[in-house]
Amino acid sequence: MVAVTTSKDTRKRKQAPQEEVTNERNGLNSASNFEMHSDDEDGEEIGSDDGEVEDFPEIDVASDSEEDEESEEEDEEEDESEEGDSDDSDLHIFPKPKTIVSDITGRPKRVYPEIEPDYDSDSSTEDTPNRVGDVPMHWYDDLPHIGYDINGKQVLRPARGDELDKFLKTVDDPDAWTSAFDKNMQGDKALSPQELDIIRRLYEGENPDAQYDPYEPTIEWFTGKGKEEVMPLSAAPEPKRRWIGSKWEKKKIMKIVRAIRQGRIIPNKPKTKESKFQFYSIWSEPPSSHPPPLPAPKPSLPTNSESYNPPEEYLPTDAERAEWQATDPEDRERDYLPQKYSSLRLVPGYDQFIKERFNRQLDLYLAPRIQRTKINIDPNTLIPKLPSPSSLKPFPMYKSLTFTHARGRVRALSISPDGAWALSGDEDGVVSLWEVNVGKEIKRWKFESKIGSLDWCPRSDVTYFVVGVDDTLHFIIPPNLPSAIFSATQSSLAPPTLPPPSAIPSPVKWVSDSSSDLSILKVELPPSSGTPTQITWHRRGDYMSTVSSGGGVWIHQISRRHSQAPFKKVRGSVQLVLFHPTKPHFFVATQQYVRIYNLSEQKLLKTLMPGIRWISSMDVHPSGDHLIVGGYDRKLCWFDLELSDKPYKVMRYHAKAIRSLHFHPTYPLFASSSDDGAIQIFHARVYNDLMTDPLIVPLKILRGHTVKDGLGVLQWTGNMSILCASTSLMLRTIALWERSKKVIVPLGILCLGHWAFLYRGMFLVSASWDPTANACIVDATNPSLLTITFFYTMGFDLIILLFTMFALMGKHSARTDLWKLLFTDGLVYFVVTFTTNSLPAILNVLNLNTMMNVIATVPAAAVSSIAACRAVIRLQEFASAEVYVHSTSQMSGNNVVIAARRSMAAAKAKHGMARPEIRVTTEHITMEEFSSPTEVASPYSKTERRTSSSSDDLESEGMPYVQFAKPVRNVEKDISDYA
Amino acid sequence: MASSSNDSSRVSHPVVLSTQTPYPLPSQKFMIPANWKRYQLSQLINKALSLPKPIPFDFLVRGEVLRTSLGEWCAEHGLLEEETLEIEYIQSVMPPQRMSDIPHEDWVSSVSCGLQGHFVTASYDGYIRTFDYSQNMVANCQLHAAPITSVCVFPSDSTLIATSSQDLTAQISRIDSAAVQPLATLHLHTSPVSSIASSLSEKHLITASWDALIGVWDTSIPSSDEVAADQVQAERKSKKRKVDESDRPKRKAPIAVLKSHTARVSKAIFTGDKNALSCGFDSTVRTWDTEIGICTNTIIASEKPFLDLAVLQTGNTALAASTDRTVTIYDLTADGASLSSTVGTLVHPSTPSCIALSPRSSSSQQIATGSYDGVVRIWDLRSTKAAISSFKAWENKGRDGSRKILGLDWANGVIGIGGECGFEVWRVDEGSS
Repeated sequence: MVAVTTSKDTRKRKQAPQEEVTNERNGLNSASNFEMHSDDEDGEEIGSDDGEVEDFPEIDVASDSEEDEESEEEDEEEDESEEGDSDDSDLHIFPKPKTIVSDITGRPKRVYPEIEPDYDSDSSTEDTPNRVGDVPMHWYDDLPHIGYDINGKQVLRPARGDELDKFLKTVDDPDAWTSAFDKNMQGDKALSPQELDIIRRLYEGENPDAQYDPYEPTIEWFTGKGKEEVMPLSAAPEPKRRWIGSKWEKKKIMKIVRAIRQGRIIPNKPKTKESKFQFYSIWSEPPSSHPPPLPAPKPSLPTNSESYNPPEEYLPTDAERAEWQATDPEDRERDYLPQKYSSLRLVPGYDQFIKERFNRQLDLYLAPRIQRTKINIDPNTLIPKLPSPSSLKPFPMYKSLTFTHARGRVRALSISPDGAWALSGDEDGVVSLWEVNVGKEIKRWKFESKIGSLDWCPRSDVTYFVVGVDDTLHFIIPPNLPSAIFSATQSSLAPPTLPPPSAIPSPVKWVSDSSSDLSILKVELPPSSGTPTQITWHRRGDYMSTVSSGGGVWIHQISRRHSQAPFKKVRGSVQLVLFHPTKPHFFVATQQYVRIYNLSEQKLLKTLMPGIRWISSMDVHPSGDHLIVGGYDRKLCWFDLELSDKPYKVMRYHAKAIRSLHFHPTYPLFASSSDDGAIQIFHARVYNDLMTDPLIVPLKILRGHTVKDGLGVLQWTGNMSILCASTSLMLRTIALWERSKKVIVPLGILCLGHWAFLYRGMFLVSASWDPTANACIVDATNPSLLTITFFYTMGFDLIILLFTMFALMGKHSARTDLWKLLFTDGLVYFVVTFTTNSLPAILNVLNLNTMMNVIATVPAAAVSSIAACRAVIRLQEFASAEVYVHSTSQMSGNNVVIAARRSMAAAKAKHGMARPEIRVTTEHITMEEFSSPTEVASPYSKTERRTSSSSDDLESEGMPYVQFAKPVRNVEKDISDYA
Repeated sequence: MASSSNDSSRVSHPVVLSTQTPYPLPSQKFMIPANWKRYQLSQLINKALSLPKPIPFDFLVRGEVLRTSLGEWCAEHGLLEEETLEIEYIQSVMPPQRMSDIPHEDWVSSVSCGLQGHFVTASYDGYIRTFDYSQNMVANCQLHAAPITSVCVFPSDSTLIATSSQDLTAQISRIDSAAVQPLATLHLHTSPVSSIASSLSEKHLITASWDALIGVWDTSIPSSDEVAADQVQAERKSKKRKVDESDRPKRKAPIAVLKSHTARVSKAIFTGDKNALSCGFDSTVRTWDTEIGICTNTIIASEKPFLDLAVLQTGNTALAASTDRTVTIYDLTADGASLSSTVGTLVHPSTPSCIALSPRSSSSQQIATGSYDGVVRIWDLRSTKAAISSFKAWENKGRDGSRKILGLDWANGVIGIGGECGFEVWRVDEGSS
């Protein structure tokens, strides 16, 4: 069945072009008016016919007969044209081909003459007189001429006869009917015989080319006589499938047949509307729930500055260029710099190409397109708006007066409650009463030891103040009091009838002494509790609290003459205490925390954590709701006591440690003073409503003080140890030489030089306070001078050794025990000092950094001191007893002890210098420790005590000396081992 | 060049010259060349009046002393050439000359040159010292155990002086060349007495104290104690009483107590026989009627603790020195408690501590102020922008900042300066030949 249909189709296809050909012929025949068809058109049409035929190359065997018929028809046509050819051979317009016999094939072939590309070959160069071209000729309808010739002359319109003339012409002229109207020349033109021939051929449906021979004899290329296939390609018998129908096709057909039978396939299914393809709008779908994809941002149009050759004013200046390069690529206003090129070909490649592509890829890969909104914030707008200081007057603005203490540092200051008098106490033990207004010292009291603290009693009905000196509180009445107040003060401090002693015994003694002009009342704290570093009064003036340098806190009640320690045990060392102005609360500041106790209920209320490493000062706002805490690490914390235990505000504005803080009693001001010599005044307004935060405005920096203290004393002590060690050995050598001037003079000169170097060395090391390390750090030395000092010391020791050797070898040739002792001691001392001193000397020569330059000096000094001490002690022992006696009593009270102490103190001090934990203001290592032996032995046992408990004293200064206790003890141990 | 110099010399200002000195010019308009300075103007007056001895003059143009040429001044103040300038001329203050320097052991708190031929100084050690003009000490006696804060002399009775002290009392004493005799102690105050002053008629005294009270006293010496001795002092002096009962100074009570100040009163003075003026640390200047004992007027300044007070001889203008480094000029004729009574302000680089008025009526607009930086400045109140003249006391003594001037008096052609470094006398030649 299929074979049937396909053959039908091919037939149909085959017939269609034939019909068209016939139609064409009919059209041509029926055309009445003739037109000049070009040759090409016809050729094409015929060619297309051939092409169509070639489109169907598969020809059934069954249709062979038809083809034969067609070829027969063509043969007939060929015959006809051959006849025509013979007629019109003289009319042929094309170049005539010559038919020659090819040498190669031996067959005839047509050879056309060569085309010469000259004028003759081109018809466009034919000399037409009218040169107006292809313009509509009706333009010349109203004119006498019809155009212009090649020389610009008018071509006149040829005369044309009317219809009658035309008719007559057809009658007279036999050629009239073969002429055509020439538009260009507006006249009739007779057609040439060639043209007529073409017309004729076209009419007849022949090839216009007269030379064309449609009936050329066929050339048998592969078939025909002599070309039969003698041997088939394969000897295999014809396969069966060539003549048997395909089994597979049969199966396939049967499948379709079965489907048709079962009704699964309806062969001629009527076409319904549904079966027709339905068009639909793809956009009319309901929108999905996903958010629509973000549209790509529209690129803005390029501006002038993006041009390759922008105007000059768009080019950036050097400053703008530098600024552009300095800014972060993300912060740049535009991502290019305008550049000028004189021509487009000088523009280089886009250097950001790779990067931009990469960013685009990033954009597409996992990174959603987001619009980054860049906020340009002026940093000034972030600063909170504060009222201007001038609107917050009054506040202290300038230094009005200076009160000068003749000697000693002023350590304590207190203003009387009425503001008329000021009290100051210095380290020399002098308490001065000043008239505030003029700065005149009205009265002066002298105490034996330094003033720890002092404070006025805040009561108005009595007037006195308390001075804390050396475990004792002195109550003093100022002069020039009205008699009423004076008597009231006297009666309150030294009442005629003492109140009954408290049930709880207290170690604190109250001693009234009205006859003494110094103090009317003394409160003796337990011994060795240390100097009271702070005295603070309760607002009502009956209770007073003191903090001793030993860390003891006492609360004294004046009316009952009783003192009690509020805390049995305090965690951490207490720095400061304060009474709450209104409530029975008590603030205790340890090194890092501020604890608030309720005194009436005797319990801890709150622990404030200021985050300061070492609290130095504290004051409570007169309202009692706010507390400021200052620290040695420069921080100032403002606490709102009703809020959290963390600071409301932390400020760090001082260059150095904050020393003291105070609120103004009435004005909303507070001030902080610092080691940098400046006092800063702040406006601190506290609002009554709980919602508004306190307003803190910095107002003024007062710089009236000059900082005078340095590190010199520490360095001094260190150098002293080296000097003493060398000098002691030198003295021994001089003794060996029996004080010969030959030895004393050079050694003395060398010793003086040594002293000079060491003295100069005191001012070498400079240090500065480092807030991050919370310590004082050596920041500069003079390594060359240090090196010289070390080498000088080593050389000096060598010379001493040599002198000793010569003395021993030459003079005292008797080899006694003493001789051996001196010999070995001298050698040992030299070897020890040389080795220990060489390490810092080498480090100095290397000059790695400032820390390394000084770091080895401490052990060197310590070891050489020990060696010197050892030498001295051994000699001492040798002199005192032949037998080794372990006796400390032997040491007491003589120079050895002093030397040992010197070295101890020196080692300690040197530790302090090298280890950065020490603070700048530790200049209180007073000279007494290095004073002459007579002073040590003087009846002032204080010096003795201080020396013995010097480490405690240093700690009492609030200095972290604790960590140095260990090396000091080592030194002690070493000495006792030797002893 | 020539033309320009011609121009500057040709440009002239119409000027009317007036004066309060005894050398008036006829009031007419002068055309003064613009490049003239003070010297030329002064010469003009001297020549016009054909004075036998040339007197230097200073010229005040609109409340400002002329220091530049007239043309420059006009250019500075944007004055047109055609405008007529009214220029007042005053006798120049010659640069003061140091006459003598009398060192003291302690600070001198107050000085008085009111006695002819004598200077009186009050010192912080409680001594009153009297010197004659040849620097000889005439009297030297301790009147108080505590620092004396001020001293007041009576020109009519040169031996009588009144002192106030930090020992809470004031005293009236008689100083002879040989002996000193305290006549009466004035008992009212419970705080140090800061000042004492007498009325013009010398019949009344007024004291100001730190306890915010002002006491008004008469100068009569009572025959017996008006105030009972308090217990403590009675006990202390019980032994002495028997010995010199008659010589003991009488305890005197005030005739009026003026209460209105809220803080320390630093100075109180009489402006007439009945009226008084006071200033204090409560930033107020108060006028008092001492007979009735009420405050008649209060000038409230803002945050100006006043240290010293003076009233010009006309009685209408008060000067008050305050710790904010200014001396403020107040017009007392203004009504009520007016804040607008401030006429001008003399700005000092350091705290002004004392004010002295020129004793001459011809130069009543001139004052001298002493300040804590040790500089005495002489001002003309018509020219408040800068001092006419200034000089440093104790130039070669003491450190900087320790040359505080505490007391100043200007009388008889000399200025007495008392302060931290002692007492100095400077001659101020006011051109009074």
